[in-house]
Amino acid sequence: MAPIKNAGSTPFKRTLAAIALLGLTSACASAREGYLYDSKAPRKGSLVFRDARAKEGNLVAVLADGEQCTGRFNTIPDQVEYLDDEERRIDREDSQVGLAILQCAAQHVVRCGFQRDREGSGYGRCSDTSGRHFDLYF
Amino acid sequence: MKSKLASLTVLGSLLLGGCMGSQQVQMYSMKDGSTAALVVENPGASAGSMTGKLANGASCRGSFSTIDPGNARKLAGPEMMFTENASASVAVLSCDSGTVLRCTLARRTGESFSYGECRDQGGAEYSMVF
Repeated sequence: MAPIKNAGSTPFKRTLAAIALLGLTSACASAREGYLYDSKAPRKGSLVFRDARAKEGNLVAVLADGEQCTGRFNTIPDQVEYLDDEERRIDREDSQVGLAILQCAAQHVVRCGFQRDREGSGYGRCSDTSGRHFDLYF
Repeated sequence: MKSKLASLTVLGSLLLGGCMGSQQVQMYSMKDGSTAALVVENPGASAGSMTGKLANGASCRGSFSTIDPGNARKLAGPEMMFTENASASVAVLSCDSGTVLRCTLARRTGESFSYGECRDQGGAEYSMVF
């Protein structure tokens, strides 16, 4: 998981990053965009799950200061429908919980625990190596 | 008869292959962002061995075993979630630098691991997504 160099926070670079995120969202029908709200300041960053319905996969993010991150997520089932109750074989996962790890600039890591429904929308809580906290909605 | 035997052999090989492989992951220190490597043997099994290498070069060795998700929840941090419809495991690794890692791990039942976190005796946290 190679980090993308910090793009800086100039308005031009931030606009480019936002356009790239939007392009990614529209190019893939199953991609889902979300927002990372800084818990102590009125600002937000963007995040895209490349395949929001996949059990595991990749994601990209642009933090509120323009810092770019790439990462991975993986999930486990939460609410499920069973094929048969005796053997507890899962037929359908109605909701999932998961963990995502984003690697941003050198030595800067963001970690998010989240829950989501079958369509891929959800929310979570994140923290980073700088001790900051974020609310995640997607 | 022969075809049934062949089918059973193939099925058995696939099942054993799923249990007996290994799973590698990078652990991220939530203190300084440094990375460490972790290898889980037999990730589909209810118990198995693990090895690791910390960022300072220290080698670690230990084992994991399955526990009730409710108990795993008590040991883990708030961003590490467990459910009753998945499996939870705990692991302990001893490193030759004196570090002891206590880990909680989550996975789909019967499958390899999805994610996890570890804490050392100093309270430093490491997170991983498989």
